[in-house]
Amino acid sequence: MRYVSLGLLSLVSVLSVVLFLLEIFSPLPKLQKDEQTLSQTLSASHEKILRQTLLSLRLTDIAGIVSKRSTYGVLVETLTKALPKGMTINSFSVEKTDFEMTVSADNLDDLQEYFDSLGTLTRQQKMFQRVYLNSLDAVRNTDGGFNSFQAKLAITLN
Amino acid sequence: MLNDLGNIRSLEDIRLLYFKYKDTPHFSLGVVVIIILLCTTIIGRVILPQFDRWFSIQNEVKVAKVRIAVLEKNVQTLSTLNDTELTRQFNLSKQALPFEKDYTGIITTIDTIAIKTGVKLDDYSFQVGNLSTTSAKLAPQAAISVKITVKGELGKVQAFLKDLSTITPLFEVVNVSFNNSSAGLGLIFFYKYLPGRLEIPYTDPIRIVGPANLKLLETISTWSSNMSIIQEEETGE
Repeated sequence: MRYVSLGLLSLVSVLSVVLFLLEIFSPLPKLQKDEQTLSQTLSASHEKILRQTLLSLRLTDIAGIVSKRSTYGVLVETLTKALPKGMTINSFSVEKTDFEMTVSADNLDDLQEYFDSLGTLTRQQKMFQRVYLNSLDAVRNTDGGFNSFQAKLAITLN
Repeated sequence: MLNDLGNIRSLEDIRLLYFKYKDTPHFSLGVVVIIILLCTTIIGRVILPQFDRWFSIQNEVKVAKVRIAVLEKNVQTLSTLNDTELTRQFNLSKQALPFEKDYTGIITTIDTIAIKTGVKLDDYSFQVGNLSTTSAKLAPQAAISVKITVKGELGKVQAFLKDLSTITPLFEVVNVSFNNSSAGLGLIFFYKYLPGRLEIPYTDPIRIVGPANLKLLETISTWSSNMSIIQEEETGE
């Protein structure tokens, strides 16, 4: 019993000394010194870091704006390109996803061709969700025939 | 025995007592009890706090190693950054999204595009009002709205609209109303103030411009060049 207790005392003492030595020879002070040196190196290039950070933040903002802003120029170009010869866009207005326009044609065939083109564009679902014909007016000439046709279209954009 | 302990006057008394009781079970028990008490005290007062400190040091070492790894990576990142290129990229981003409201810049840009596309510009109207477009919501404090009227045939107005999306500074066309060779346009001009105080801990990884944003920078560079070319053509240089 006495030897066991003496062994325990020795074990406790050795453990205490080992822990003390581990503490003394810990790599922490060296690491702290390394950290300080590296921080000093970086602080010498503070302006560069600042510029890089601002650039990155600004580009994130720009990417957000560019990806979400409207592309009405491309939209009008697409609608104009789809126009058969002899047809014109008289007026249009657009805000958010609502696009309204008035087109005129000399004959119904051209109008039908344009509607077909718009139908194809809608099916492709790249730009348009829905194309709706609001009204179709025909203007008679003096001979009693039809001089021109005017269609009002409402387009819902994606 | 307790009486004997009470009569201790000198070291000699202790020595006598030791020889008197050393072979008795009481002595052995006493020694064991004293050693156990001593061990308990050492464990409680020395070893446990040492363990605490050791674990705490280990944690600090772990954290310090992570911080150092980031710092080393930051130093490495910095060494790969070209100063001239960084300045060029920074200036491009500043052109696209200025730090402040630049009314002159807006007017110059709109004028330049109008001349290039052949539309005639009427009055301007600057407003700081409700900016409810999706993109404006990204930075509601950093946009001003501009209303303009342009005159020209559809093709020219369309070209004007298209060119507005390929120039710097950044614009967004909010609404358009075209009728009889005249178009009313609602535009939004974006800007963003410099942060008043930007804390950058060196132990945070330096933000790298990713491939997507590098591509965006090149696009902005093209837009910027477009403006320069148009302006040079205007001035006949």
